[in-house]
Amino acid sequence: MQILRNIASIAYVEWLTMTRDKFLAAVVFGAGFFYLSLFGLVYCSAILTDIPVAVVDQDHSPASRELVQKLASNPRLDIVSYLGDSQEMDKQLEANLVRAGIVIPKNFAKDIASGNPVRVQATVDGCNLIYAYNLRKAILDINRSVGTDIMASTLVGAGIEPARAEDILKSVQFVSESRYNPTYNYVNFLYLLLVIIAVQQTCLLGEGLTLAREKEQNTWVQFALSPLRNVEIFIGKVLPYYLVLLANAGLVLAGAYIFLKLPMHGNLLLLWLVFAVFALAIVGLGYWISSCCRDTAQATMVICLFNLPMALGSGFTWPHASMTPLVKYIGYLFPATWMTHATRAITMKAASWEVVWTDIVILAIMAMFFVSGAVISTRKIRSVPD
Amino acid sequence: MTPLRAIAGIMYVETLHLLRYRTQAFIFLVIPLLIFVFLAGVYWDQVILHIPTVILDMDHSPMSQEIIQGVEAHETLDIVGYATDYDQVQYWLQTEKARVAIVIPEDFDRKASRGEPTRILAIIDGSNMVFTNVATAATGEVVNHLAANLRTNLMLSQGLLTDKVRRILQAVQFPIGARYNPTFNYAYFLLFGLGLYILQQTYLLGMATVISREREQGTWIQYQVLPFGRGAIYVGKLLPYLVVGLVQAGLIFLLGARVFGMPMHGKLWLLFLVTATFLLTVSTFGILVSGCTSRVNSIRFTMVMAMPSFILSGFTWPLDAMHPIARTIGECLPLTWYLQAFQSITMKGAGWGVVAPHIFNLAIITTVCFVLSLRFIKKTDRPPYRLIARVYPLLGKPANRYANW
Repeated sequence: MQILRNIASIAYVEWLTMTRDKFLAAVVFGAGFFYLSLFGLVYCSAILTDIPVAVVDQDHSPASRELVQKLASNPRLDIVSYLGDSQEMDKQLEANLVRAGIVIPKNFAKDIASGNPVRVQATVDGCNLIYAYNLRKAILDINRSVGTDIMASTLVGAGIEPARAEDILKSVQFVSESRYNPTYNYVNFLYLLLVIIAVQQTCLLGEGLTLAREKEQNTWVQFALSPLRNVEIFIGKVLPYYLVLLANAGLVLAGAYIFLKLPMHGNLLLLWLVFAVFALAIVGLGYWISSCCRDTAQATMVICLFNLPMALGSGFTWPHASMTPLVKYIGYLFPATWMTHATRAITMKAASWEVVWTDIVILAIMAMFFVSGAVISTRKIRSVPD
Repeated sequence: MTPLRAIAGIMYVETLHLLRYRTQAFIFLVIPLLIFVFLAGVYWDQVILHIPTVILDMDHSPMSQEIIQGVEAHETLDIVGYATDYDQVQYWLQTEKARVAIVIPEDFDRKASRGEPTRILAIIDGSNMVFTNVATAATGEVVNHLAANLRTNLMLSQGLLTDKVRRILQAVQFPIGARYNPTFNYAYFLLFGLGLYILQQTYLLGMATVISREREQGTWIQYQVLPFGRGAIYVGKLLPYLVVGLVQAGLIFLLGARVFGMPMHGKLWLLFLVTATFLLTVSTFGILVSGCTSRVNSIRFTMVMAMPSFILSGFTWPLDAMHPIARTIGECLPLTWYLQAFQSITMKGAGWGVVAPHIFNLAIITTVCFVLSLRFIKKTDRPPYRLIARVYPLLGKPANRYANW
């Protein structure tokens, strides 16, 4: 009973510190929402449409104009300039005015009518692959539909019955399905990673200061000399952050589900379990970092530099299999790696316990490791030098 | 003492300060390069190869074998197993044992050779778009090749001549060339951008303490009484950071271009000019923040402000596709213009004409930050007593306590 009372009073003091320091309160309670609303505004359209494209029509025939209309009617493309020659197109590509250029060659209509092969050259700006992939997909779609039409008319022209010609062209249909994310939605792909990293960072930024602040203000001596046990100090100090992290994560995910239509297919209880284990690992890590840092400034710097390597080393976007082995194994050491993997499987793929248990077990091992490290570090810094 | 000697003296003191705090010096000097190397390790393969693929062959015919061979031969797809039923395919996709599944239906061979419509289904894991984009293209190539062969046979059986068939099949083609990045190389796309973002972060960390540290230690007032004006003080305080920042940027370019094989076209002097302007902009922002708050708060503030800058910069998800609010914020950030200019120079070999507007934008941001910093930098850490003395009477509170200030 006394233990619980001790923990409660330490947690209460920590809660007071957290809520009274304006900046800290802003970071712990507000920063996650701030970032994620901002990122929500960034990715709100989710699907890239109206990419600026230039067309060089060297043919000026009804057939070429029809093709241009087909290009213009594709929602991904927005034809912003009609140019006379391909040098102008190169200039516009270089100046980022357009992201792709399509050159319809001279004699386009004549060649099609006489059945000669025609090449419509499409040049895509490869610098930003988000543009490039979308453009490639759009152009391939147009190629398929235009090609089929023209082939059908040529086949009929070659003396084959229209019904037979259609059969030939539809003989093999290729259906490509993007499972779990049929519209190539960017929010569904990336937002979960941002949620996890933002929630993790705001918790670390709060938690990471707890001991550093005490050391800075020389209030640590009270703990150092008190008869409290290390575990009690640890639990009392991390409890407020742990609860706030879980609350933040829940609210942010609910917000993302409501406003950004983030998929949430799986078992919510399982999702909650993953978050609970992950949060334990994070508060342990934060406390440990805090015990190693000299002051709050140092702790802030160290924590802030973690986020990018953690986000990209997690294998959430670029897969682990395509990293160099050393970096891959470093990536395995981040809790976020397993966390993002498990949450994506649960929310997007409705994965069950059998699929994500390895992630949860690894997170639990990490949590145990960080928590014991944190408790031991308390002992170390409590020993007052003579 | 001439202003030049004063500047040199301030520079010397600043360098000493920079090196005094070991953690901060380490973060400022070494971390950007370390993280850059780490990121190069992340994007080591540069393009995605060997996507695990599962095949569900319900036909077991020569033609389905042909498809399987086509998948095997494709460098991007790796067959990791053969499923026996659809549930197994589902399970493999869900557990990420496979990212792509190709389903060949029953009677595929029979129907296809008779010319009856039939379809091949490729299921691609859409949860990670890095895979999705590559796998969609790869499966399309394999199946289109097969479909072309099949159509050829069907047309030949209709009595058309080989040459005629070839011409029909190739009636219209849209060859797609990705200019500046023909292999859709992911590292070309991201590596430098991320590396420079980290450089911005560490640079800001260094700058954030330039003035706040002095004020905290009560030494800022000494600078205030120097007879050289703020210009000389700022120049002296900035130069060491600017030089280090430029050297680091140079090392990142060198590492990226020579060791990791990133493209580096364009004129070097232009790259140097843009980088220097960018670092100057970031410096003035750092000074502004540093001059307004305490040391800890300026570190926190710069970090919190700068953290989302990469996502807002439009380097990956384009500015045009953002909500106007996010877009406006993005356009106020120096990183946005720098990364655009950097990409234009290194990947497209762009000249002054293309880059000049970006440099101009950077210059505007610098000026705004500089003017604000002249206006708002606090001289001491005392509360703004004069202001309090004026405002308190308005609120009906006694102001005489502050009358002495």
